[in-house]
Amino acid sequence: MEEYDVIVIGGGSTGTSVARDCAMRGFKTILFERGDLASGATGACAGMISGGTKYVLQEPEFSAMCTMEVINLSRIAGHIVFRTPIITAILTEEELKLRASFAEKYGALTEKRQASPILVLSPQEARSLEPKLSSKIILAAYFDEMFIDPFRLTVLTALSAKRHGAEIRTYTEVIDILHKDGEVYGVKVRDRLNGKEEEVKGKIIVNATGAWVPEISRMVGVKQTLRLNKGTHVIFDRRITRFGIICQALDGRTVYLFPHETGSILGTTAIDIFTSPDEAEATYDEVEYLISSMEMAVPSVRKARVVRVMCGVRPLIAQWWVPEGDVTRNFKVIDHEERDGVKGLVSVEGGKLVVCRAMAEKITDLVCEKLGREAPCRTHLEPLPGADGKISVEELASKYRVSPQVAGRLASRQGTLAHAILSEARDERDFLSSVCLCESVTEAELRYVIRNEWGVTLDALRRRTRMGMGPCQGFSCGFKAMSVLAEERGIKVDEAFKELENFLAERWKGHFVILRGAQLSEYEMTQAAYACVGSIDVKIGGGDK
Amino acid sequence: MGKKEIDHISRILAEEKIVVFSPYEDEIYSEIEKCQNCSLCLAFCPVFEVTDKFYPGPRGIADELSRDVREFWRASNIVYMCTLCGQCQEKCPVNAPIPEVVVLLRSKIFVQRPDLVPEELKTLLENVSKYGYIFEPMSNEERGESLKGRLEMIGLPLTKDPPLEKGSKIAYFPGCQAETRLLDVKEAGKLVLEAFNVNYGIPEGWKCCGLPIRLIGDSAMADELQRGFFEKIKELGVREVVTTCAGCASELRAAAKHLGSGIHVRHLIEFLFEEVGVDVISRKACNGGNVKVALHEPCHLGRHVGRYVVAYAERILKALPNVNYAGMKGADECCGAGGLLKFHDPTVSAAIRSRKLDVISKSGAGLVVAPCPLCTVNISEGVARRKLSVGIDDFTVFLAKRIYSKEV
Amino acid sequence: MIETDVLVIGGGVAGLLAAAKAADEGVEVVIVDRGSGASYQSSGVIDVMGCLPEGEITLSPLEGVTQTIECLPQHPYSVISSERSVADVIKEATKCLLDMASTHEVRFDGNIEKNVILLNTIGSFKITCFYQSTMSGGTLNKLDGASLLVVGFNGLAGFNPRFCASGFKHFASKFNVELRKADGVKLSLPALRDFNLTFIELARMIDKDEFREILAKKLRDETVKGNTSHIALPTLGLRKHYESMRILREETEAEVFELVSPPPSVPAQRLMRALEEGVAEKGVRILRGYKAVGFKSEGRRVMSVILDSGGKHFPAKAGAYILATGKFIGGGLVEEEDKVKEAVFNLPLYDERGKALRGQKIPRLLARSPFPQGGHPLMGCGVKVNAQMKPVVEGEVVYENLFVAGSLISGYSYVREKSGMGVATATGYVAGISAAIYVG
Repeated sequence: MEEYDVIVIGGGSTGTSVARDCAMRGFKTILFERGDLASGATGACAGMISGGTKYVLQEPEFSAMCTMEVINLSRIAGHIVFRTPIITAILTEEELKLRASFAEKYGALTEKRQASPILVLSPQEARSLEPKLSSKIILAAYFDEMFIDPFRLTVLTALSAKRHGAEIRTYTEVIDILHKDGEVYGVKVRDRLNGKEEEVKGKIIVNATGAWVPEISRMVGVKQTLRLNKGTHVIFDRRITRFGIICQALDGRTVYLFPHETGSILGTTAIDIFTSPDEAEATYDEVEYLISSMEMAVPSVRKARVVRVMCGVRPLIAQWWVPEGDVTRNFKVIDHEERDGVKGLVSVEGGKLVVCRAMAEKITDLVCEKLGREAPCRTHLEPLPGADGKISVEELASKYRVSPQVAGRLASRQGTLAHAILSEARDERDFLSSVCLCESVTEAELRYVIRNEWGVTLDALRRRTRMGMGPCQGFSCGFKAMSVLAEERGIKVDEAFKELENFLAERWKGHFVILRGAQLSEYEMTQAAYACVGSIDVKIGGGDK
Repeated sequence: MGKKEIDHISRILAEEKIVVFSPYEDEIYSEIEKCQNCSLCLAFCPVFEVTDKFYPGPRGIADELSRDVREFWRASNIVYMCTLCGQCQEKCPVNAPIPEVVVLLRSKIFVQRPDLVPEELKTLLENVSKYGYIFEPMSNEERGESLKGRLEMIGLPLTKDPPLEKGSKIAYFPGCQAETRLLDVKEAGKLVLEAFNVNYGIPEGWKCCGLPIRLIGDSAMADELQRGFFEKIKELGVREVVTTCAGCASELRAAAKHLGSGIHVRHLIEFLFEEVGVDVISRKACNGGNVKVALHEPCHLGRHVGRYVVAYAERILKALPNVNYAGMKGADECCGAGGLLKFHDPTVSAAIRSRKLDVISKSGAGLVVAPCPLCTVNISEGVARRKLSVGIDDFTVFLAKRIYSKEV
Repeated sequence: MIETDVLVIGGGVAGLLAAAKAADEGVEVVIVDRGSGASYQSSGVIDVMGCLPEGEITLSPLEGVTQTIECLPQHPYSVISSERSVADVIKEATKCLLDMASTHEVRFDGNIEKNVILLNTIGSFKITCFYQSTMSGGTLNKLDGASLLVVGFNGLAGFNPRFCASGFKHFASKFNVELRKADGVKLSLPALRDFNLTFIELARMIDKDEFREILAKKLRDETVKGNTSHIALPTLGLRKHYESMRILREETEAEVFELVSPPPSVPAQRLMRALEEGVAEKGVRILRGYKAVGFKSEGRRVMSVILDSGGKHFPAKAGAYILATGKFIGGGLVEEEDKVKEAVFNLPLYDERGKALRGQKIPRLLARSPFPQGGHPLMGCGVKVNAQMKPVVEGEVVYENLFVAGSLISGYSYVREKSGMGVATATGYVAGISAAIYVG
């Protein structure tokens, strides 16, 4: 049995960052993710990498770390980072007082990351910038924040880890932690695609499974408590507003509507949950809460086309007797040898997307200490794959004779790797056909991510390319992508159709909670195409001719 | 907010390529979200059918290109190829307003990446700046001769332009094509209005309706021209505009609405049908010999203003004495001149026209009338080139002839 | 502005058939159509009943109908059979449709006694009983022992012949049909765009003599090479499909046939065009670009329907009105405050079991899986009708001169049953007769 220095459990933004850091510092590293990369909380967040504005007063140090991390992420993943100007729409006098006292204290940190201070806008000024704002706002404030594509960040981090020698195993579930005499020495895993089980040895096990941290720790008898908190987002088909909009929710919390990629994302709720994170799902009430809240600032949001809802579970540090919003977003790296007497096990609680790299740095520092190695962290310096230069969309389009839209969308996801992908299609022009029409995803891109980015399921292809994330939600791409995946991976026909069903079921998860307006007709078309023409719901009985 | 703040926000918007939409633009933009990505429109789009170039068709514009608001320029190889015929919108299960989105995209490209606007279109825009019309007008001498010749040929008298004054009820808007090329349309328009004792005048110093300008992408200039025009006639207390051009009718009508001008714009056909009535029209327009007439339904009337206008036209033609109305299968198909396609991609434009000529040849009509001078010119050119024996008349000219002809 | 005996709202298969039948009865008919509905999104074949309520395939459509209406007494097939046998009505109705289609160059094969399995362009199959004769060579029962070549084209997007070939082999074996061989090949033809080519473009190319000739030669070479007995193509053309089929068959000496495809399907465009031409020939006027936005009534009579064209409203007066606006694709059903609403007359809605919808929100009418065994309750919702296709509420007729046809009717889910076109045809037929009798 091969022995690794480090076994990382969890393929979210934190886990992949840990794998990358460990690999870059020379540790023999393997990562296990029971689903796809970024299929937990990472994939369900809004992608904001906030400079820590919110924490400036209570947690200045954490806030400073956030600010620093924005700079770091922009450096290492520039092509997937973008800035969104945001308007905070103030609707009541009480809110105005609160916000005003906060705004005063904000500003010092923003210069460092070239962000603007908060600018106060009259309602007229705000509405001239963003005509969709309600005429009922009494004042508004402008600021901007950076955002990132969380799916790409995670995949690129994993790719970088792989380039530095780490092994990344997706759809591989850790079903047991091997331990003896108060020391962990490996894990037992099951490949969820083929059911095979195996044992893997490792010196250090990093539990970076977010909301599932307690479940993993329980495998070695360690009790760990987190404040699990569900957050739901509503996704719209296009950019409803040009600016991100923040306003007070019906219950006095804050909700936001951010333009993101080609769509908009409205969030979020915060509901403490006490069941397994696997069971968390978005509800109708959450959707209505979000829309009714945002409607006060942006009335047209109610009529906008909802394409789906999604939910994730925040692994908050277990602080109680405060509202979710007041719980620290800082993280804790836990050395279970110290805390519970379990040698070799490290876990992480809390944290957020923007500090994923910093979390990994802290964890890897601890790993270095435990394994007695001195190696400096370089993860903030070395660019992620594709982020090593600028790319001209026009040149790309004319060089490979594709439309600027296809070239542009590809470059926004793959950065400089776009050249490699399109040049592979030089002799196979056929591969330049778009599989997903909403998001301009070509067959070439799909084949590339299948071969290079652990694109083993249709769901995984979606996360890496945005295939199926547009308005039609897989209606026109599902079956096409299925045949590409089947061909690339040599999957049998019945498995391929099973895969298609899984993909459509995954999309459906975001629909049955809320299906309204234009999406109803899309629903009927998808039903008719896949069931009436494709017969994917048909039972073949008897075997008569 | 001071200048520093404004500069800061403008810089961020520019860097992130964020374009602020007007409420009117936002309305279009949110309407297009209904697109279901079903691709049915591809079966009806004439450009998609005839072009060899890469063209993702209406679906691509609605579903793919309309959603990337920061990068509208990437649609530049696509949106100038659209004729704005509106077939896609009419056949669309949800009637997604694709033509309006094409115009929106063109206007954003005009601002974001003027270098990507086709050169031929820029020339047209210069014409408007120079002359006020989309085409360079003829010299006075040339114009006089041409007018005389045309009117003689069709047997109509030359009358003076009555100016629009206080107390006029109707502002007659001839449009660039009738002012600078198909001169008889304007004369015929006047004669028809006079025949039915309409109190009208031609607004002094009128300019292009704004449609071609909007199609080139300069929506600011189009708005300005239209606002100016509406203000001017409102100053004279006039609230109604009648035009003989399908393009002007649809554009001025839409502009009147989105600029909130309160002006009622109608095509002559609509005006006559609603205000004069078929009976009176047919009693007046009772001259001329037997003729088998088919109607070409301009896209800008049938699909942009509304199908009811071409239904009015049909009703009028059917009622005219000695006119044998021939239903033409494909009457509503585009002639290829729309969207300014004719000026920057004459090949595709001609290919679409060719389909129209097939329709016309099959109709068996002796004469095809088109309530639009632009369509009339375009189809006539095609008919001449193909040496078809069918006659082409602008609807207004045809009507004027039926009123004034000596032949009974 | 519009006055006629019968006004049909909706130009899908149900509306067209209702119009055709009413016109056959000698009354004046006008169809108003605001855009293309679900019929255009169909696959261009006429299915009557493909699956039993438990989700299993039925080999006999009529037997399937009988079993289904035993389970679902509110099924439109059950409602139309109150006076005559359902089989007779369906037979007459489908005959009317197929006759009309065949006089306009879209011929059908198959019969109501037997369902067949057709192969599709995604690699699986479709169940139906009537199919365009361009598809006949490929019904699964004829493929036993066949050596099948699935032909794709370089550049054609959304069709993978190799995957389809393995899919066909797989599904055929599930039906106990043994394909001797199934191969997929992609032809490289320079005349075709090298990527993003659509089915509709390919169909138009195949319509062209020069291209067809080149294709025929290529196919012949492939047939000889693989000793092929059957050739499956993604399309055989938009207008000259028979000519293409004949020439390609002659050239290859193989059974050449066309696969069924998801929307936008070329055979569906052919069918709809043929039916539109068919009704026009019967003197029916189709008015496009008019949307029914409201109505006027006096007591239990609809006096007029308000049509919108370019923002202007016009009343359309008729003796009888046929509502064939479909479900969500057609726009017959719309959502308002998360509830389903009938768009034109605000008719009360019922579910598949005949129970009135009492303000349930849409999520309550959806199952948790996308393709549940019993279907989504939402797809069974619609208007309840009597034997004349008049909408009823608690047994009472709502408007005596209003008739409903097609998928707007409640009591069945075409998605689950594979019965969409059959029900549209049968209910359209009955609504057409009823309306004609009413005004006559």
